[in-house]
Order: sequence, then structure tokens, then C-alpha cells
Amino acid sequence: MVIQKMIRSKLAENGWFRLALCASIVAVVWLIVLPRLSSIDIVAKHIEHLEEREVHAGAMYYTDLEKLPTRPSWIEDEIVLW
Amino acid sequence: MSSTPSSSSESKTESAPTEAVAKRGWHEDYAAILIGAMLVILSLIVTWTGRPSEEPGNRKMHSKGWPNALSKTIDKPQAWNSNPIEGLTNAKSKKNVGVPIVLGMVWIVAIGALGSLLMGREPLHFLVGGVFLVCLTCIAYFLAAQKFVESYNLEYPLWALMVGLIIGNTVGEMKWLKPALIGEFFIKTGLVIFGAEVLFSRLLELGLPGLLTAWVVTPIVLIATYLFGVYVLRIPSRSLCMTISADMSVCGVSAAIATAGACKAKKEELSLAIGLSLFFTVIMMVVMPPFIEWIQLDQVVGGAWIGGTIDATGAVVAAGESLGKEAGEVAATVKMIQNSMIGLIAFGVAVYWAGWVEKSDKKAEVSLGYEVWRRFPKFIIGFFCASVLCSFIFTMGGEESLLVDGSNKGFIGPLRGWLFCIGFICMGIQTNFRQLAPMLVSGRPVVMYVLGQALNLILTLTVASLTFGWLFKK
Repeated sequence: MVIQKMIRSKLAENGWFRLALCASIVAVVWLIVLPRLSSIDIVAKHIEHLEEREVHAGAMYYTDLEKLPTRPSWIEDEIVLW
Repeated sequence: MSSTPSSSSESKTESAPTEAVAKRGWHEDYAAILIGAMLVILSLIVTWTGRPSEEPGNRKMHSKGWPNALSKTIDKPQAWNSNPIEGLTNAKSKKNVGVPIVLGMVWIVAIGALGSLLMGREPLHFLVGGVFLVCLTCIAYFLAAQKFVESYNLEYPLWALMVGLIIGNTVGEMKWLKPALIGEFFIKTGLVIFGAEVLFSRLLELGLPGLLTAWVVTPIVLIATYLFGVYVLRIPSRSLCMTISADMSVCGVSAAIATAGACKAKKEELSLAIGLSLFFTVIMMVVMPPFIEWIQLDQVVGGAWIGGTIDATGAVVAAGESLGKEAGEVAATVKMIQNSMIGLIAFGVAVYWAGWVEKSDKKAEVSLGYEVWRRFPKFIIGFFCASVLCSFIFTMGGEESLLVDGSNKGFIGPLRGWLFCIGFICMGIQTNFRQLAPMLVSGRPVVMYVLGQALNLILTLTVASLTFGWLFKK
């Protein structure tokens, strides 16, 4: 109870304390929770698959990709490019 | 993007000194155009002077374009799993990227200081806050580079917004930070140089089937979703409807940023559109490949369907590759065609907004042309000119196309990422989500996104089946 009260009053009055608390939560999620999630079998396979094929799944635009997209070679025989 | 009042009461009281600091200077649009143009030209010149002597026109030898010496001065944290220090080494080339990351931060601070100078602010006042902001940008990049986060396409704007929101809602906008909060300038400069990456010639990459899949479906879905949001769901903000429609029908975050700039959407609206896009991208990226396999859809048609519907480029490639190599190639190329539509769409939206949406009820005292020009977001002109220039150079020949690719991959692309990222940090710090609360509670933007995406899925599947599955079948 005392600790809860202390935390509440600290949160209300001190922005830097709130910032430290948020930063700690972010650190726990990124340094402990997410690495554990990455090690779950299905996720690990997904990551491994992307790494094998050099796919940068976080790309926002095509120029962010490891390899610039190229059209499949068969398509040139099938379609007329102009 | 238009400015909105900050969430903290503190910021309102502190806005006066900042205004006082700003002397008469250029509008941020003009500053963004000048600096953006200088950067694009610098990158092209440096790439040209360093062109390889051996077979400079051979695309197989230089698949990423010509080497660009400026690439050594900018990079971002690499993928890491449990230890962020891993992010300082490129896993493939084993090169340390610590120095390029620091130099990239220097570029951003220098651009911010020059922008402040042009806008009539004190560059030295920018420096203190600017260094702090660029450190936050680096943190956001590290958060986005975590392997789990990256593999599910949770892009850096999301984490930049989160970092900014944490700062804005805990310690608030500190007095020394205010001169550096020029997020709109950073985003507009990022958009001007982004124009260099939007190449019109890429639109023809897949010939007629690609054009039909991207050009027929995308504008129909964009316009139908926008009208549905405005007239059926009666969402009060037209700019929110347009930003969500663009990010859903074109290519996610990058389209949202460009369109939000063109229709002067509020920071909160852009943040909401990006959040919606990333949320549904993750779901579609996971669900679509197994669904396509389950209904036994042709790999090529499936790839085109993925490319035309999933918002984010990285997610499209990841989902396409999980179907197969060919599906991955078709998906990535269809998405690249959609990517290249951003320029025309942003320009069209800016003209429509300036000419029709923002039209005042007052009797016109000046000509319509002047009114449209007065309201037109000028940085879009810089974006469009960069796009036209680089598209022109790209189509000149094999060597010239490698010059543009080298310039974009080596310097413009990474720099644009840093500029957007710091822009989102500033937006997060200044965002007031309370203004959007009633709209979020009503759930109308989500309904709009879901129904628009449903239309997108049906139309794209129909056109992809017609073109890649029948007319131009392998």
C-alpha cells in the first residue's frame, strides 16, 4: 500500500520518473519479451526463412529492399512492353 | 501536415518565446525544396563521379546501381535479436555500421540547423534540442531493428511515434527542445528527396497486366473508399479519409506520409492512418499466403494479389516469397508499380484539395488559379520535380538507370528514412490524441479501412485472375 501510494504520488508530480518507468517497460519488452517470442518455433522459422531469402520485411519502399524487384523472365515473352 | 495545439498546457505557455525566436524567414516548404534539391543533386554528382570503369552499363554486375561514396556516411541499425549491440554490425558483410550511423545523425542535425537558418530561426538554439532528437531517432531505429519487430513489418514510424509520445506525455515539451521541434520541415524535406525514388518508368515494369492490376484497381479503391468515408460514414475530417484511403489502396506508410502532406492532414490523423495500416498489414501478411495455398490459387496470380493488396512493401515481399520465388517476384514488382504511383496521386490530391476541398464560400476576389496556387502545398512541387528529373535520367539508358539506382540506394533512401523518423519523433512529442478520441470511439475509421480493404481484395483478385491468370497466363 505504502509503495503503491509512493509510486502514485511520484507519477503525478515527476515527469522524469514517469519517463524512467516507461523506458524500463520498453527495455524489458525489447530485451526480454521480444527475444523470447523470436525463439518460438514458428516465429524462428519465419525469421530464418526471411534471412535465407534476404528479405527485408521492414522495408517501407521498394528502394529499401535488399534486392531491387525484377520482373520474372517469362513475362517478357508473354506480354508486349511499350 | 497542419499543426495542432500540443497536448500539454505547458506547451501553450511556452510557445510565445519560440515564436519570438523565429525571425522573418522562408516558409518551411521552400526551405525543404532548396535543401532537398541540393541533396538530390549532390548524391547524383557523387555517384556519377565514382562510376565504375569496368562495364558501367552492366546491370548484372551492378545490381544495386553504381556505388555511391556517400553511402559510407549514412546507415541505420541492423537487425538484432537479444543484444542491441548486434545492430552495429551488418550480419552479411560483417562491416561495423557504428560510424555511418553517427555520420547519419550528423547529416540530420546539419539539415535541421540549415533549415532553421533558412526559416529565420536561430540554428544554435536548434542544435541542443536537435542532438537530443536525433538520439531519440536512433533509439526508434534500434527498436524497429529487433528481429521479431522487423520480421512482422512493424516499421520505424510506429516506434518513432511511440518514443515521441512517451516524451511528450511524461516530461512534455521542454523549453530547450522547442526550437528543434520542426517535424514538418523534416518530413517535407524527406518527401522532396523521396521524389527521386518515385520513378515513373517503373510503372511499365510489368506491361499491361501490371498496369491493369495497379492502375485500374488502385484509383477505384482510393476514390470509392474516400467517398464512402465522407458521405456514407460521415467522418468529419476529409483529410483523415483521404490519408487512410491512400495508405490502404496505394502502399501503406509512404503513401500516407505523401498524401497527408498533400491534403494537409493533422499529425494525429497521419498517426492514426499509419497505426491502422501497420496493424492490418501484419494480419494480412500472416493470413494471405496460407489462404492462397488453401484455395490453390495459381502462384503468379497469388503474388499479384498480395502485391496489390498488402500495404507495406516489405510485408508484400515477405508474404510473396513464402508462396514461392516467382510469386515473390510478381508481388514485389506489382508493389513497386504501386509505389511509383505515389507521385501522381500526391500531386492529384494536392490539386484537388487546393482547388475544391479548401475552396472558401466567400465570393472570389481573385482568380481561381491564384487561389489554387496560394493554397497549394509548395513542397509537392519539389517532390514532383525530383521525381520527373530522376525518371528522365533513369529512362535515358542503362548507365543512367544505374546512376539513379546507385544514388537512391546509397544515399537518398537511407537519408529519407532518417528524416521521416525524426519527423515522427517530433510528431509524437506534439501529438494530441484527445482530439481524435471521439472519432476512434465511433470506430468509423476502422470500418472505413476494413470495407475499403475488402473492396481492394475483391477487385485485385478479379483483375489479377483476368490478367495474370488468363490473358497473359504463363
